[in-house]
Amino acid sequence: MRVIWLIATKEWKAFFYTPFAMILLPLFLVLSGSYFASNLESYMNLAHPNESMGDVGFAVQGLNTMDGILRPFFDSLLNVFIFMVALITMRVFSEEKKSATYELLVSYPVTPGKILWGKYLGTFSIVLSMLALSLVYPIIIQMFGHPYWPQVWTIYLGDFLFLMVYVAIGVWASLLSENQLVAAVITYGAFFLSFLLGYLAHIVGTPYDRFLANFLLIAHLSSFNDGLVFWGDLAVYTAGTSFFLTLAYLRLKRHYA
Amino acid sequence: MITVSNLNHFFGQFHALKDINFTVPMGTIAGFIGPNGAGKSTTLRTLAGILIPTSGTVELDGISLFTHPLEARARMGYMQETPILYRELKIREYLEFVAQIKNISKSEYQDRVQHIMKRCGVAHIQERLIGNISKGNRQRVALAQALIAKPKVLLLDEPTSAMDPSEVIRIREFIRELKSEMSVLLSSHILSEVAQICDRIIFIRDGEIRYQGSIQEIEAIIEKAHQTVALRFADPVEPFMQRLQGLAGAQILSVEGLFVKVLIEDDTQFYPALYKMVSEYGVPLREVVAREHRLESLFSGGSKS
Repeated sequence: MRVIWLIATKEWKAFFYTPFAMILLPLFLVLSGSYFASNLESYMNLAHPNESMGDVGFAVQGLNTMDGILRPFFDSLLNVFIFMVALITMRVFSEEKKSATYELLVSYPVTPGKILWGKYLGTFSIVLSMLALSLVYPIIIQMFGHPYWPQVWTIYLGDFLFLMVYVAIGVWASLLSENQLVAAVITYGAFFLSFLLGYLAHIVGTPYDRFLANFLLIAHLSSFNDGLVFWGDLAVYTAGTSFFLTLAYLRLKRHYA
Repeated sequence: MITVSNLNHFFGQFHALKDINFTVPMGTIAGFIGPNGAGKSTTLRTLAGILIPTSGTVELDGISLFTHPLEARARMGYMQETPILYRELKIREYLEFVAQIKNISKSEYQDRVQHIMKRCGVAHIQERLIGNISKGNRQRVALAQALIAKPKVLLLDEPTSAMDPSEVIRIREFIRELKSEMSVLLSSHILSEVAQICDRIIFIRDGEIRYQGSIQEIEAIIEKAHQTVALRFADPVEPFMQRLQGLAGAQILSVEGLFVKVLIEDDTQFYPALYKMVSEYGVPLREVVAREHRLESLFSGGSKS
């Protein structure tokens, strides 16, 4: 456990000490902030149409801040994460491989499992710290309205689980190549493959559609966004994470005969 | 003790290591030498557990690297040829990280880090980021990380290539001091370095061990090589070959075109006899070439032992 913690904290430090973090974090705040502002503006236009809209202006009855601002905001935020996570995970092993620090790491008396867990948890914690930054937006809404916090937390749980799988995909992809760009493309590719398989579910029909629909990772977020938690969704995300971490482990284990 | 048996490694179709066998006993520094691309770094990376060979076995301090990978790694310190370390960490932070990774206890690791930094000459810059220090200092940090857990086997890939001359002498002395506690395998292409600090030499070329033996044995080979010259003639040598073979104080080793390679057994006899042959019989000698005594040329045709 000590070694996992050591590798994870080193990973954390390595990220935040680099100029890469100085670019990525402000970029995340700018993108998430602009999505929030645009959703807020749409909500204001729908809930409180101003006079400039004239005769066509109307207020959408019963629109609350949860459905009007936060849900669409978190849907948009996911796009930011899909973009960001691949950029963060691409360096996990690829950069170490390219700079040869990876060779030193595997020459140390550490099991491949501990290296993997350390790297994974360190990277996941970086992504989670970005997710935590997004809490500022429900807090802003709280200052002027009444967000439904239980639903906010289930949305966060869904995002947590989705990112758990997506980071595992990214860590596995970064083991496949010394080239960070290739690793990022593989991560995006794996995500879009999940889209394709989900789309295929609509085409093939029963009995395979239910099975294939499980691969559409993003679809399992809808119940969390509605404030509902289903075991099936939890199981899909847990299985996905385990699958990709196992692939990464097998890849890493090749150094240990 | 390092024991390497029948080590073979293929990179695709390329046979990079061919039946490598050697041992480095405890208390011995073995110099691993050979030209670029000979297989030195591949062998060291295999011994460090980075590459898994196609076949063969490696034992570090009596523990098999492939059946007991963690136990064997715990007994080994490895320094890469190009010391690329975590640039974003301070020297002290990095060595503390390595010390803990190598299972040095919480109560001990800070003292150990301070001690090894002093020994390797980086204590005064311990709070500097690794990314901001010179290549020579980075090599010293790399040596410190290799030694931090008091390994029984030390693998050094070109350990002093980026250091300034005064540092080189200090580090060589330091390595010699260490040898009583461990087996050291030191890869280098600097003959003087190998001759100064190594007890044994292992010469590799084209992925094969061409020679291994004690430093005294290699000195005898070098001495013999110094006694070898090539005679270059203007015309083919066949018509006067008989006269050449009769030269006193020398032995013909080979004839290649206009060149005749000769081992001089007694130069006081050989040179007068050669001059006499040229002046009296008009043998068209153009040049006497002393052979190049680079290590790789010394052993290129050498026997395995």
